[in-house]
Amino acid sequence: MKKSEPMSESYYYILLCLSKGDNHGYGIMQMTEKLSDGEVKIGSGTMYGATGNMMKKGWIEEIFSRESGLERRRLYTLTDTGKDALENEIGRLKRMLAHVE
Amino acid sequence: MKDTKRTYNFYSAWNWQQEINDLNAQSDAGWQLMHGGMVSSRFKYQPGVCYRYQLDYPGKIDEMPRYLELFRDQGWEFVNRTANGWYYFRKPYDPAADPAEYEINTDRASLNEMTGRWVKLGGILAVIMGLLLAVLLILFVLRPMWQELCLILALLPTFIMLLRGIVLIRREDVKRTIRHDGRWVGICLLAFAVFYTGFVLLAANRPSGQWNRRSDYTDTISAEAETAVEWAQFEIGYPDNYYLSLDVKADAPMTVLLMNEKDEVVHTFTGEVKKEEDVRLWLKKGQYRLLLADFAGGSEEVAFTLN
Repeated sequence: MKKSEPMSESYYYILLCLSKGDNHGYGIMQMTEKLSDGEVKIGSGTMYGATGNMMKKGWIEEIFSRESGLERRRLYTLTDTGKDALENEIGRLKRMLAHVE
Repeated sequence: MKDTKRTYNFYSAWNWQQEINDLNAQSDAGWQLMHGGMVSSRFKYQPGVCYRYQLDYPGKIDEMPRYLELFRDQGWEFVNRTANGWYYFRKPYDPAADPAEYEINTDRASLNEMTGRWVKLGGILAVIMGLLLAVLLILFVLRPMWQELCLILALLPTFIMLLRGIVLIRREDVKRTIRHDGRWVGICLLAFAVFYTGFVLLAANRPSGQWNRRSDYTDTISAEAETAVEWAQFEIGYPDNYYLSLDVKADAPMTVLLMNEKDEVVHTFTGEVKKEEDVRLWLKKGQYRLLLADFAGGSEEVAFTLN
């Protein structure tokens, strides 16, 4: 089993949101709040740093929207490496919770 | 009443939260930021609106449009960027909204990344200043002079302030306001300006130079100071340690006298072939003369250096 470093909540939710489909920065921020029942909020500074780092790691890529009128809209998409990173994190969280009553 | 104003407050990097609090207070009072800076900020009086401010220190931005887009999407308006890389943002304030809406770095990791960028810069500066101070302290021990002391006093408070700032900005409770810190930072910078100016003035007014002479004497020069041969003079602008070097090559032993304006002998060099380097003398303000005495005659060559 591959040993991986724990992710920050922001990283985890960004990858989780993108696993549900390509999204733009603000969309990810809104979806994160929804998925976490308002527990996790990702600010713009955190979002910029996290997406920049994840692009460097090759977990996500930047694409541009093909929707009419939104051609210049920046979207993020999950790569295979990103999917692996997310699955590893989900596995790690599950293992941590496995023995909780 | 003027509808614009300028404020002067010094904010260090580790006081950025204090700056945000002050900008928010200005906005509550109707003054909205037009241009922010670490020393001076400009405001416009617009009492009908209220904003909450944030400062970011993102380092080198590879993709500015992406950076600004992420802020714009969350309702932040870019105000300005300072020359030292701080970005000012504002968002219309709704008292009913969750306070987290007005945060930009929402987890410890991204806050650490932001402060870490400044720590890296501050750390490089601290290392350079530390090395410079170490060299100056060694020089001061070996060759004490006012001008070195001035440089040490100029750099030391700023160096200590910088180290303190690096510790404070990395603290878990960095977002807590550090009161009155700006005043001490201002005092450190004022000390730097005053002592550095002192260093420049002392260095500019410090006499230095080399005086050489070479001649042949058929007659003797008596040992009395009154009949000694004067060959150079210089003026000392302020009391300090001065460093004298003398290189004598003569056919017979001779004496070189250094006399002050009261005709008192301050220092004497004697010998036929003599080399003295960096003789430390405390010289008071005034005119000084170099004289040759007690020479049996013959060829002589003297070089005198004052530092």
